[in-house]
Amino acid sequence: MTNRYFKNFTMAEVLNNEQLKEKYAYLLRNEEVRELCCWNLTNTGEKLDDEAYVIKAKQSIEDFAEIINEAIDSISS
Amino acid sequence: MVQENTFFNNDDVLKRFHSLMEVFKIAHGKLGWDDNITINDALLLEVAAAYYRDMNCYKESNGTLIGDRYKKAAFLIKWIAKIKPIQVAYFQGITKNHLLSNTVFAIFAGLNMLEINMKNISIRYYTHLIYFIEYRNISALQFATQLYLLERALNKKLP
Repeated sequence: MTNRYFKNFTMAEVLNNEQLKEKYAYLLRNEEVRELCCWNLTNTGEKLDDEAYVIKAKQSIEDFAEIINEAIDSISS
Repeated sequence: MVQENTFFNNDDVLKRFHSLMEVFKIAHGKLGWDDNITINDALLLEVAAAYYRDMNCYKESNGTLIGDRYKKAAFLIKWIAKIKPIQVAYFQGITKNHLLSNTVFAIFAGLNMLEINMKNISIRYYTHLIYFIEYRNISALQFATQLYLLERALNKKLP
């Protein structure tokens, strides 16, 4: 199948699997709307790794702290 | 409240709760926050649950299987801003830092999901984000587009 979510399946496999069939039905129904909204363009399909997320927070907090405090100071009270 | 639900998996909610708790501790230590700023565990757990409920409802209704990082960031910011898991003790001498702690936490936790260097964002954009989160109704899907454009701009790529 050409759809990115189902490219590892044949049509027969999708149609014989109730869960996949239901997902595919949703996709077909919303294809036109999603094209218009461009949601497909941004859907990179990655899964968040919570451990990496915390490590990244440790690395970026210094940079963030410096600039966010300046931003807060610039807001009138 | 958190309960068995077809729209999310409780293990995912707990995992996200723990990572957000870690991010809060990291932020608390480096943003100059004092002991009057604390986090409410139950509210943070509700943030994680609301995030999954909302995100998974969106995925079901749009037939999308996995949300991208812009939507994850937008939905997370929305729910931290709505539920406000950080609580400030009443004392004389409350500052803007205390009052904006939930908004700042939301911005940090959300932007941390993107592939960006946070120091490359201008002060003006941060103040815009603060006003937006504090005073506007957040539409997560529209906000996700804004975050996508922000990441593309910071990485000098075409939108």
